[in-house]
Amino acid sequence: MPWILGFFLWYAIPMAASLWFSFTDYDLVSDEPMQFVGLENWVRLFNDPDVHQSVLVTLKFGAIALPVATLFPMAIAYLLVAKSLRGREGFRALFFMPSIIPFVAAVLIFTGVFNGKIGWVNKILAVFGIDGPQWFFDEFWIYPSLVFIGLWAAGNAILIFIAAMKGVPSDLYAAARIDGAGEWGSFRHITVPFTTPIIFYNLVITLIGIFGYFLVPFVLNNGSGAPNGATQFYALYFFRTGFQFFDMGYAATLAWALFIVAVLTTGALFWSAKYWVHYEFEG
Amino acid sequence: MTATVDRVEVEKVTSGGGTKRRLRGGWVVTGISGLVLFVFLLPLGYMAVTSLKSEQMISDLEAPILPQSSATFEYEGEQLDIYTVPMPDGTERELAMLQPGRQTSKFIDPADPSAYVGLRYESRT
Repeated sequence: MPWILGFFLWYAIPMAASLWFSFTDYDLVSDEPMQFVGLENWVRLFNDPDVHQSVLVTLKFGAIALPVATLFPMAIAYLLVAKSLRGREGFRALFFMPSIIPFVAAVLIFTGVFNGKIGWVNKILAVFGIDGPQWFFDEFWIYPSLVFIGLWAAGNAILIFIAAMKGVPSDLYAAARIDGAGEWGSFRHITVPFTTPIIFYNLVITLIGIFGYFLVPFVLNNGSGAPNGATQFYALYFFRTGFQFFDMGYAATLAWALFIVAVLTTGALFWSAKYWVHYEFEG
Repeated sequence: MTATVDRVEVEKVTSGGGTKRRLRGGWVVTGISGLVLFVFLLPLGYMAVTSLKSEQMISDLEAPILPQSSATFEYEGEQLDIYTVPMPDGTERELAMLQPGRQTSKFIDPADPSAYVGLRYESRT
């Protein structure tokens, strides 16, 4: 009963209210009474150049972030379960360590590390004679920089991958070795199939995270979208519309559009799972 | 079945060389992990080092990566900061600041404090 009450109070009713707002001209600071405007906000959504720009920015970032956020923890976990790795426990602790640092603090640290003049990255590159870019002020390099910041939260994903890889029966590796399989063959034909449920889980979580990507660009440049709109992510545009321009009716439309796209994409991912996700105890 | 047994036997015969290879492989895996970890934790190192730097050192473009306390010179029981001062003839000298000023500052030469007392150097601002 308390759960049902909480669900209605904090989820169902606010969601229904925001769906209603999306068909109104609800403005937080206007003295005028709220009016029903039909599909006006939804038509505006499809013709809004800022929406097109923010969707493009989110897609560009997602195209780099999604594969990296899946492959990086998987590769690190594979290294960390290697029997030949010396100081394995120490490595595991150190790779997990950054994920306990609050994200806002992490972003502030990265602004120093990636600083074009005094940052360590460019100082190290200069040692090799490379003139490093202005990472956070370059329309191209901003995305790899943001992805690198995101990797600091990969600790949990690494742990889950390690648990999955340790659950693979060692007999399979021994049998593969006897049959002449090398390291790559074992990884491709044994490790990857056994970890597909974790890959799937990670994909879903990362995808939802990309749709709602907000905190890092907001802390980085106060949500201005710099450089030249390259960090004007969809969630950021939604926030500005609702809480800076107080156009709550249109913001509710943006939120619902995001919700619908997220549900459809996640649904498509779940549908595709039956073709490539293998569960260990299936018959 | 026979082929499988043969492969196991071959592996047993060459187990001496295998141990060496495993040892080498162990160092390679550890080395790669260490390199990735170094890059991964670079910002953490930056954070730790920056926390030990003075505000002046953080904003100084030419400051070294590791924190250092500024060089000082003791003059009449007082610790004076040493600066690299451009001289009118175009050379640079390491001088201790005796009296900082908005328009002009007084410096002395730590190598010969008596010779340069009262030297006035006009600052750029």
